[in-house]
Amino acid sequence: MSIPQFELANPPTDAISAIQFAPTSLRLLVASWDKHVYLYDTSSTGGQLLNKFEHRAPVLDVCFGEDEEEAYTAGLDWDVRCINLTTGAQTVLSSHGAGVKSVLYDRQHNILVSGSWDSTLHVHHLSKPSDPPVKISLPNKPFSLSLTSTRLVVAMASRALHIYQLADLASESAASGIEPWQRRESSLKFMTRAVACMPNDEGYASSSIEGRVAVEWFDPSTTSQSRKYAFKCHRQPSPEGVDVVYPVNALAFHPVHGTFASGGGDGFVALWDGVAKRRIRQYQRYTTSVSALSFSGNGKFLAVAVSPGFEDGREGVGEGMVGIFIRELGDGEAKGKGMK
Amino acid sequence: MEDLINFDIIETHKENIQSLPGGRSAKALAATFAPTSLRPLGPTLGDTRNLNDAIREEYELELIAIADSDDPLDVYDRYVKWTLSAYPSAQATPESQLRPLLERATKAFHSATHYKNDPRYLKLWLNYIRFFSDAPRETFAYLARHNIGEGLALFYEEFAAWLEGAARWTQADEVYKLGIEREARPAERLIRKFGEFQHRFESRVQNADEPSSPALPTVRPALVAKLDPFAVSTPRSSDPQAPRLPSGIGGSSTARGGRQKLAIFSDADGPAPDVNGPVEAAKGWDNIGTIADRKKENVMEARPWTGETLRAGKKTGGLPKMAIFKDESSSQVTNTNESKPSRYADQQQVTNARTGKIERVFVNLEAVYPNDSDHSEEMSFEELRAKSRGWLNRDWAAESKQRIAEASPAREAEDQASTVASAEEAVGVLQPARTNPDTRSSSNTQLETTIAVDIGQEGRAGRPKKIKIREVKGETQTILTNLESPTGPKLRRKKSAEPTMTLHTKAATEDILDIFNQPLRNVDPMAGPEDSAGESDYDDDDDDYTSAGESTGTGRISGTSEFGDTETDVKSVAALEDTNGAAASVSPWSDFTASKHVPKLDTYESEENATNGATTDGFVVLEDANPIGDGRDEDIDLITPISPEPENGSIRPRYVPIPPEDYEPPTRPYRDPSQVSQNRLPFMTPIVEKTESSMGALTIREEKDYFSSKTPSRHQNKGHATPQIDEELLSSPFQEIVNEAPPPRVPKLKVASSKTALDSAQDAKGPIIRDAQCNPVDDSVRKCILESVKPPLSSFSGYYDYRPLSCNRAPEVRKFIKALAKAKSGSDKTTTSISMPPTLRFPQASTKTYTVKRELGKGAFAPVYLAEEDSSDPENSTLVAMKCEHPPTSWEFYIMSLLQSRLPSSHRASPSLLKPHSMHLFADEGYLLETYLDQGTLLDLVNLAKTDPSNSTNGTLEESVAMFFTVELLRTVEAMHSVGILHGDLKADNCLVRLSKPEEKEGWDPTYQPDGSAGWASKGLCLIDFGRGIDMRAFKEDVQFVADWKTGKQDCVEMREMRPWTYQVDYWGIAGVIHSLLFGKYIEDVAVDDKDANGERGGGIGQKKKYKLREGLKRYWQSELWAPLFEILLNPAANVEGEVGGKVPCTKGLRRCREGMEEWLAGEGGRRNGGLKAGLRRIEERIREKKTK
Repeated sequence: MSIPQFELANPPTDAISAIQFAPTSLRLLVASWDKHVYLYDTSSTGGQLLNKFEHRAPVLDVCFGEDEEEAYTAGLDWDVRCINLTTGAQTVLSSHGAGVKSVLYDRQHNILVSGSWDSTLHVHHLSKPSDPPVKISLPNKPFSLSLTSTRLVVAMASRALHIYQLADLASESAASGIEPWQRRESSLKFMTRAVACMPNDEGYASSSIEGRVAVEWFDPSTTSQSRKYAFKCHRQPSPEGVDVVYPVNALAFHPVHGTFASGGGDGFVALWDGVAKRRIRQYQRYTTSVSALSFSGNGKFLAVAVSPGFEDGREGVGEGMVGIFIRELGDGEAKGKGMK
Repeated sequence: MEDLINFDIIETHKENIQSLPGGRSAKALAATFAPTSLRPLGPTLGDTRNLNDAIREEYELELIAIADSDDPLDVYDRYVKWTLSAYPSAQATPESQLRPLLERATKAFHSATHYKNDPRYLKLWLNYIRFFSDAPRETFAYLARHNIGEGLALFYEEFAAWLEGAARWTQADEVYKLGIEREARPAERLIRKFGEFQHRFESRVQNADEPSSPALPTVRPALVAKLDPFAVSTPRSSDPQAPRLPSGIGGSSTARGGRQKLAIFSDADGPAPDVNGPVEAAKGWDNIGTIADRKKENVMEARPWTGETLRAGKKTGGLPKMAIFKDESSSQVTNTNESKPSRYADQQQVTNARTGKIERVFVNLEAVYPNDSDHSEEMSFEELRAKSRGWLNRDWAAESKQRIAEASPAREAEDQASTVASAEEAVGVLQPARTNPDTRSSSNTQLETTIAVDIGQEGRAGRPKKIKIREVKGETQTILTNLESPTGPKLRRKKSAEPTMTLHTKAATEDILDIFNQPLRNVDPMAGPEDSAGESDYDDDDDDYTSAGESTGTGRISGTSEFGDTETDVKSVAALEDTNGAAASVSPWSDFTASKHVPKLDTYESEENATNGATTDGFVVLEDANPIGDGRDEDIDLITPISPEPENGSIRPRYVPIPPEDYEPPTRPYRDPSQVSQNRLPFMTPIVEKTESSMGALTIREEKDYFSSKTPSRHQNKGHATPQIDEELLSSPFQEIVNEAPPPRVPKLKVASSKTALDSAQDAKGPIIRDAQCNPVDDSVRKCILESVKPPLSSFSGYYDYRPLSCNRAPEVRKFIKALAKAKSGSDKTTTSISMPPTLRFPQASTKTYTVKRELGKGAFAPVYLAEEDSSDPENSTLVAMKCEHPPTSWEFYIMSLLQSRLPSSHRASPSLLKPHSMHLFADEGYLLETYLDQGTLLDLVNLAKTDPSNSTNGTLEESVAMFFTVELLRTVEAMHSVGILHGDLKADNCLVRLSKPEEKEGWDPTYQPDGSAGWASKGLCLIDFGRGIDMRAFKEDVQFVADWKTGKQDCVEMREMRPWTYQVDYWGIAGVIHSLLFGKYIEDVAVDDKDANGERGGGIGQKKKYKLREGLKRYWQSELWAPLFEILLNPAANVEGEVGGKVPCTKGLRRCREGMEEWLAGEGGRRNGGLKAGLRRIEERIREKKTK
């Protein structure tokens, strides 16, 4: 039985910063440090590189827009751009004061949120493209953003974490004074690396550079908060008998089952059942650090971006070190085992 | 002159001079200690050392050349002698190096045959044995084995002397004999010594169990045979392994053991040869080793510190297994972490405390946290990569500006040169002012919701976390995280960390007391602000005031107090101390809520929960450091010591004023939770009233005290001083209640003039007592009522007032009862000695005589006797209960008569109310004759159930039975209340079981009939003891009663809290009865704060407090029936909605409960466990059994 996984042909030439499946199809957007955004069609084995879009600087994040012809990118050139995937036309939506780490599109409210290292969020009301984006200042650099249907979770430096109501962000009146719905401190002691929200809008998972993942719930009630927990993962024994603790670079929730995948600097991808607190499975080790994960819209595929992650301060990007793997998930492969 | 020795010098040093067998040279000693002209105070330590070191050097040189010496032993001999004299306390001082020297010396010659019988060599050994040897006998044996001193009497003498000193007489004897046999020289001396020894031997006290093994352990003959089969008769063999010494039991045998080929090895009782370590090459005893060698297991080898982990703190893994000592530490320190000491070295590589595994963080922490001092500055990998690639320094804004200026739309790939210039300033821009999130949020006045979360880190999933939410209003909430190890030193974790007041365990109390005993610290009481005004104050000027908590005023759980996991954490403590100063040190207070524990001065409202050491101890020290806070909260901090956070260093203790000494906390009457938890049952109050009961066997004869068959009763109208009165009371005319002078409390009376029928008269004329508040059981009030009832009491049937006649029969009756009791207790004597039972005859009912049979119940004021009513017709004799009251009062009769008159006999509840037969009132005594029911009280029933071995319900009544009686009780009380009469003293022992035979024609249907049909009317209970009854119609409609007696937990909460009450007294009583039925215990309530009423709590003085049972309802019970009932009974005031006039009595609510229960009993409940009927039958049976016993 062959591994139900294939590697995309024509991978980016430099480290991958973000990947995202299209909500409905099997198209995959890949942002890379080689200053390009790649669009693949992954429906066939090996995939097909449909297009690539050059940027001025390395691209740090990419996401699909309203339809699959539209994508938004964020990069080190401080700009948030909209790309027409068919024509390749790029328009700059806004410019931050520093590199833009993440960009997220919310279909329901038709807003685009970008977070930059200048410690601001820009909320773009796409229905009114002419308006300047609403700027929300953050206490720290945002490192990772994640959306649910109603909330935006912003994980920042200093282990700070803000949760915003999307309704607040989308509202016209709240021009500037948007306050987070909740301020939190990360449950993890080290720098937050990634955050991902549960598809059922109940909570989120966050990971740190020190091999840990915390699962928390939005509901501030005692009972809900008492459910929160953290666990260790992505630790591998080294030949010297020392456990090496890797960062957890990527988190992605399964859109159907509510389980989540974590990808670590150790090159492992593991599936977890956040409710039952169990690891469902762990896949074969990839050659190098897992830098991004994305589930397809129907939850049948998991895209794994593998590239050296600069975790140890070394570049390490070389031939064959960068790859994107599309893994087909069997029925119930990502399904939680349920409480035992 | 020089030869004169100054003995004074030696004298002062004698403690430091080691005695030697051969004595010491006084001259040498004097020389050692004598002060010279240069050193008037004697040789200093340093001088001596220098001198001795020089001499030692010479000896050492001599030793190097020892191989060339004719007499090498001489060198050692002199060396040792010098050492002994140069260091008078040689053994004690390590610098003498005597021990290594002796070891060297003895070792050097132990194989040299020509020294074996040299006394000098032997003396070296003897010195060694005397000063250092840890096992002298072993060493002696070693010497014997090696033939050292074999021919010297000294050896045998010394060995024997040692053995003798160790009380091994036979062995010593053996050694002497051996020496003599071997003709050790000087033989004469040895023989003389042996003679002396024998003399001592004879005269010693015989000790039976002294060791009888041979003095010298023998070599196993089997080995001997191999080694030296011919050594039997060659005692001087040079083979050290040859058996030198005889074996044998008893000690008198001589050398013959060698012949025994199959001799049984007799192990010496003392040292085993294996102490010598592993026997190499089958040659034991060839080296005794050095002391250090023998102790090597106890010595820790010094190792370099580099790379060593200093273990600190408690380890969870339990005791380590016994480490096996390895001779050569092969695990030489290998410094695995030889990288340059990095700031994050300790975090980069940590040892997992649990598994002991070393964990290395892959991430380059130094790069991620570039700023040593500020951990909040973090660099993500992307930033690092961008930085390393130079992207981070590009100013794209400038670039795009430039581009616009140049109007060159063409995208230039890398225009480094143009951007370098602006790069520097861009960096500045790139570093946004990163303020602490707390600081930011503080500027936001909307921050009202602060959540402190304590999260177990370390992946401790499922560990209970605490979270406090002050308010959720859609405002920003802050959830802080405590990251540190839960084993951190600061927070003492408690099991009862839940800051509820109900958990007053002993431990909690101690914890609280600990807090007070602690030295002053930056402790912030952290009382939750009770009013929102206080909150907003805080939010305005305290950035990081992260207190949380509901407005119940519980302290927040500190989120940041558990630092101390790793060392950098300490740093972060420092960093966080500023921002979270309040939080960091507050943890011990989290269980302590100042607003609860500190008495509220502005109100005497007695918070139920205020019972702890803090209040009763008299004063509370609040370590409160903020004078600003004082000013700010001036008006409230007495009520709720809202704790201002400590501001840097300005700490001073503040004393919260505590009521004056004569202030007795109103909490006294409450059960003290800490006490209650320990002695729940039995519960005794000073005055115990045994109420009437037919079950003398149970209540009187038996001394068993299961459920203490007595319900604590209150004082009878004693007018006790009540320590604290409700605020309202203080303004009432009844203020004097406080004093012990009740007389002036006679209320004004309104004399009604109408002479119509009893019922209508009162109804028409309105209340007799017009006070808004009064004590309904006060004598004067009663008297007033009795005097003014219309028609007068004298017109009541069965009321006989003989006053001023006196009866004076009570002493006689008492005497009889006493005698009866004595006869019962004192063996099984026949009752012949007992006088004839007293017979009472009342003047106006002279046809009947009442013969006292026995006592049914005994109270402090009114014993109840069983009396046989004899009318002239002998067949018509019936038993009645006779309550003998003195001083007499007709109150009870009055209330009972009222009930009878107001409730028609056809009323369903009528049979459940005891009927008075007659009342005979004398000046000194009063006799109330009542119906006698012989089935005992509900209390007896409960106790019966406890002893019932066949009972499946763990000593309590079946639920259906309990519910049956509950329904009966509810119906009866409901009926009483409907005619305006309160019982006032409902308890299980005032409820008689009434399981009488149904009328014949009706039979008894198994299905419960709430309306009493089908024989069910004959089953139920009967209320007795109306001595505390209250006729509400004698009072104003909105009357409020106050209890002036000392309340106990049998009293309703309103009484205990000095709140006015009316119907509550009965509700509480009902609850108590039901509780007894259900749980077999007295009721215990706990106050719970009504969460819904939070908002009103600011103003409400405890009115919103709710009470619930301490015991939880069993899960298989019908909690949907019981819970609402208790809810109403315990909190009547909170359940007046829907009642008539929106006030008590909660007749409707209770009726709903009762009807629900009736329905259940008629349906499912009545069929359980064989049916309610069967259950009641069983009870009947049990009662009957008990009675006949």
